[in-house]
Amino acid sequence: MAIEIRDQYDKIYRYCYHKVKNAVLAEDLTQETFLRFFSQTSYSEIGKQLPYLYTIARNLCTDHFRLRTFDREKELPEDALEDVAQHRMIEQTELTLVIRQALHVLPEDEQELLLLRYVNELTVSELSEITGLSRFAVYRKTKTALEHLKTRLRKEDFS
Amino acid sequence: MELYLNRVTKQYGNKIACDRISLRMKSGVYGLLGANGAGKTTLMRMICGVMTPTSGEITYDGIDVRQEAYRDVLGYLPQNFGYYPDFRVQDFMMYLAALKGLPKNPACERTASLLRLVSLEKESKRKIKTLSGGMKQRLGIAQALLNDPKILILDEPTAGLDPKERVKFRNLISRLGQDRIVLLSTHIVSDVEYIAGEILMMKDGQILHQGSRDEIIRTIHGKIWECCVPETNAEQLCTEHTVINLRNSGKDIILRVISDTIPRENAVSAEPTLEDLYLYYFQEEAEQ
Amino acid sequence: MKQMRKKDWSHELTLAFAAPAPKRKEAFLKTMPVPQLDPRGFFFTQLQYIRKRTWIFSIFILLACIGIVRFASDGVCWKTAALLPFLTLITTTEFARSTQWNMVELEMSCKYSLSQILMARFLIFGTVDFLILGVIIGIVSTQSEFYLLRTVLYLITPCTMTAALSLWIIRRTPRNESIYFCAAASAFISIAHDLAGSSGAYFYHPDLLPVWEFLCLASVCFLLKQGKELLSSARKGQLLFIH
Repeated sequence: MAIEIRDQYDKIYRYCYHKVKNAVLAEDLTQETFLRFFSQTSYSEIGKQLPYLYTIARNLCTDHFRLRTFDREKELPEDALEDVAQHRMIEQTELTLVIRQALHVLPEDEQELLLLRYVNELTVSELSEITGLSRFAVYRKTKTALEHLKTRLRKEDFS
Repeated sequence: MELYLNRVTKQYGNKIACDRISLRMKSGVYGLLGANGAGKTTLMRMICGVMTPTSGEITYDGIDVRQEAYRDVLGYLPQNFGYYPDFRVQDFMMYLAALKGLPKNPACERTASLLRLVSLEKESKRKIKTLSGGMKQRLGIAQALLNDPKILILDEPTAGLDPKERVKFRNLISRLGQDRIVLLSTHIVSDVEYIAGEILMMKDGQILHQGSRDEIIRTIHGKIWECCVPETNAEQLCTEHTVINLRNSGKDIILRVISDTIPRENAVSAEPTLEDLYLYYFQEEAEQ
Repeated sequence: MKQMRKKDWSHELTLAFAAPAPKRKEAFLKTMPVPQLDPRGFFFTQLQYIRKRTWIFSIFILLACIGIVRFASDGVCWKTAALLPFLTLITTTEFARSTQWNMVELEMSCKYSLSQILMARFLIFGTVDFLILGVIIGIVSTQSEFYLLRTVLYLITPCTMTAALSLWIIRRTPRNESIYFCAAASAFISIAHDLAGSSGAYFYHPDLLPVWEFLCLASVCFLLKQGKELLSSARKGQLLFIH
């Protein structure tokens, strides 16, 4: 299997997981995303069609949004953190924990931008296609999101 | 999934190598059994688009044999194949992978997994000219699978394999036949016996019989006899009929013969095997 | 911490957004379609498989021609023309590789089959030889005793003749023998130039110009025809050389 699809699987999965907060569902949605993607395009360069891939994922997640019934504030995924720690043995620094908490306070669209830009490494053009915002707007919002996060972290620092 | 041959003929001057062959093949393993020169290789070459039929058509799900889309789902192991000098096992696989339309990364991954499948992963850096016959054959099988073909044509694939390799090969082919059309030609009866779901018997360019092992064995039911005769009479019997095998029994010899009618009074009708069938149909060629 | 750079943020955010490992990844990935190599990609892989020695010898011939122009006192034209058949020989032997090494059957059964491989090689060598020849003609014409068009004529003809003959030989002769016959043909044309050129000026006499023009045109047509026939033979399986 091409290295590209492998990578993208993980990235789409991470995105879906962020949206629906459920591992099993996230994987279902990831697989559905790829199935739909390949039913529409004949594979040659998945790299050039990333916005399309993410748009499918995004729409699928929105359709399942109803599963997120609880209040965002209360929903600190500490269980998920342990899950992650067990499965991935990621170094659980206090910083990570703090960042996670801070992230959850941010508006949804800012969280999404941070994930897509800094973690999934999408370019500004790609993000612009996915979100429908202009490139400038994407650039500005991403900066703002990061600033918000920093501000929030500073607040945490003093608490 | 259907490979359709419609009255496929190949003629060279006066000689007819394949005579109006019509077949419909769905997924599964088909064994093409016949003596050398029966037209097996010619038929396979036509199915692979390597030779053009004099008349008739060959299609897979409506796609004609001459089209690129057909070759895209085809995997072929010829009876003899060469390699560019100084090619290593890895180079050979990568070269053919490119020809089969695989870009570099998938080609690398498929090469690695296929070499593992045929137990050649340790030889990937070896030059092909240093490989034994059996290894080269396994390499040939590996390359045929590069593009995950739906039609797999193997011409004498077990030639040069030792018994252990042959068993491994049979298991592999059985697995592959599950969602593929596999056509393998051989004159080794036991290969076909164990793995083919359907057997095609070919003689003089025609398909004599087509069916499962039991179905085609039925055609020589009552034609295989075992006679117990004194040693002195044995030679006489040998000249009259084709002897499949003989064994000693005290002072007498038990001969297994082919005969349309009972050869001796005390002869007993024997249950035919595929080996018997082969000799029954191909006795002239077998004697050459 | 506030002075973290972008890549630090990437790292930290990746940790923050981490998800539990997916459980059904491998099984699913096996069902995904395999990416395809498009014709352009195929062309580039063919480029990679041209033997290095072909490029090296071609450059060598180019340098030799430059040498002739630099150091020869006269007869620059026929001397260069005597070398050119070898340039063509080197490149056309690349077309004989498949038959020489018994790869025809395997290559024919692939998606990008033998005729497409040959086509790719035509394109590659057509372009490369055209360029090399262009450079050689340019250099020779500076020293040539003839005006440009005449030089072009005298230099192109041995190339096209050799190429056409070689392709004809490859199409007709099985396996290893074809290379030897091609070499013989190139040698013949080269020696003809050597002998005729060194023996006097009659070879390039202006009266013979129409003969040269005819030869040039005929060999170009012959070359194109042989190219077409070779591709057609490839498609029909005639390059297997059985019966």
